[in-house]
Amino acid sequence: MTSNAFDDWADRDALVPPEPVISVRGLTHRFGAGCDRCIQLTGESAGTNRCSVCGTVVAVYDASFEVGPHEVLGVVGESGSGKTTLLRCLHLDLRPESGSIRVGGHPLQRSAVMMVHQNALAAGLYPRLAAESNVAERLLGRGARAFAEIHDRTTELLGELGLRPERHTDALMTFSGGMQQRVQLARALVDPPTVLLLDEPTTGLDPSVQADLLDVVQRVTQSLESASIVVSHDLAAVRVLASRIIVLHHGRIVEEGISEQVLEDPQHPYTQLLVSSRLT
Amino acid sequence: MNRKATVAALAAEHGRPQAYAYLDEDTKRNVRRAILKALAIPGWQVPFASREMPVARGWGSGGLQVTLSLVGPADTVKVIDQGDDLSSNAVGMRNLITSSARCDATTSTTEATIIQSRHRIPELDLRADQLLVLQVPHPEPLRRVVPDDVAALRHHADRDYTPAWLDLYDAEACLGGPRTGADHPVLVDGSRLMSPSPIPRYDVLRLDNRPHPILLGAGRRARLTALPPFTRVQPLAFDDRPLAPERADGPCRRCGSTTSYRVPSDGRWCCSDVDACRVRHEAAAP
Repeated sequence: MTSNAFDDWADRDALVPPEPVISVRGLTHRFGAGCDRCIQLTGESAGTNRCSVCGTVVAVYDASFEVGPHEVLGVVGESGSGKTTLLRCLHLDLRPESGSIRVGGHPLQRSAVMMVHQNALAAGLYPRLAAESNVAERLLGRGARAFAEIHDRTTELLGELGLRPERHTDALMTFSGGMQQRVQLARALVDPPTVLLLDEPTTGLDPSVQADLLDVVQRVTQSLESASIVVSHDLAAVRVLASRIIVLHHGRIVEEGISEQVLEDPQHPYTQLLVSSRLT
Repeated sequence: MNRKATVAALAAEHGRPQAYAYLDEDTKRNVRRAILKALAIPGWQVPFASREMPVARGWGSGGLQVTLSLVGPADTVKVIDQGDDLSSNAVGMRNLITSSARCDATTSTTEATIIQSRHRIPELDLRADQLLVLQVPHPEPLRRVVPDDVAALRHHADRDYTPAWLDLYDAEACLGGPRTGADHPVLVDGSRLMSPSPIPRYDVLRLDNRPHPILLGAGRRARLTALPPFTRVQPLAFDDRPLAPERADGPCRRCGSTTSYRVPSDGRWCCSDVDACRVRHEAAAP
């Protein structure tokens, strides 16, 4: 009897890559009426994402990527490179012109995705209500009607994210940017989404708060079964959070790879510029 | 000129002898159609063509139009303002109704066939043949939490009252109880959120399964709401935090009641519903 070479493997399934949680194929979105030459006249070769004929901005063109379970994908690029448009398409705030977004093999549903916005007050949170109430809204929307249960759950979530109990009933508008981000994360944890989107989670925060928040975000993304996508200008933050990175330039993905690889050995000239211009 | 015939006489002088009870017949028909529709969908806000009335909008013009659309010469009308028959607002509207409809007026709850009220539900039990009309300043229960009318309509259409629950949760978490001193929102038939008019919580808890119809008129907002007899009406409250009525620190100084809704008066407490207090006082007298 010949022994099978695979018998020594303890877990054969471990070698099979997991099914991606979210799969994006050929995502394109333009702002403007568009013309036949928009695609040719924009991009890397043209040095712009604005069509010189019709003025249309090709915000994202032919973006394709996949994110697996427990994986965090970082999206970096300069202002106007299409990062936020990409995120808004994934959040279904914008209907992409073409391409497909599939979650677990099915077309993306709004309920499967949740975004942690850069500006918490623009994220639909209630500045005049208590932090606890902002988290409780998600539970109330799902039909919870027992005050004690809702209170216990919100207190637990806010505590996990490092908010002191005496601040739970303070109005959200009295919170700092970092604390508001934590409240948003607590809302996300009420009903963990399949895809978590983080838009510039550390922008506008001082370095000590950034480090603290990065620690919280890392804990949250690792604890979730879901896929996470982080958009940031801050390469240091992306290096800490993301296992893979895609680099956007003029609406196109110009480089993609493992974080360390892309940041240590960038191949594309724009990525080299981005990495070399990082303040140290 | 006979004071009781003033409006009818003026109407006749201008070739409109049919104008009975201040409003013309078309207006009354419009209001009655809205009332029928409101009764068919309990707790739903039904728009109607609110007319200019001889009281300012927000001072009972909606309740007045409902009463004048339904009143007949055989009716006996009672008008109360915060439980009192003799406040200037109540007296003015009672005089307008009785003079224009040539009907009787009373201060007795049991004798009245139509009771128009502001801020209170009479404490004496009403019969099935009596009609309660409530004056409503703001018929939209989501007004404080959803400032946009169109968004509020969408919430009603979806039966999604999360903003109201959220407001209640925030008040419970921060203040230990609801923010609403009066006008606490209610769920009609377990599904439609309704503003019960600024009645105290004591009265909100008495809205459930009443044997008589209740009509709520908001003239400024041109909306009618209705509760047919034996409608299930529950205040918006968490399962483990039921709505509690207001508390008074002492018995009524007139009738001695400890269960009525009482308001402070000259350092002591007295019943808000004057007629109910009178009945209790007379029953207790030797």
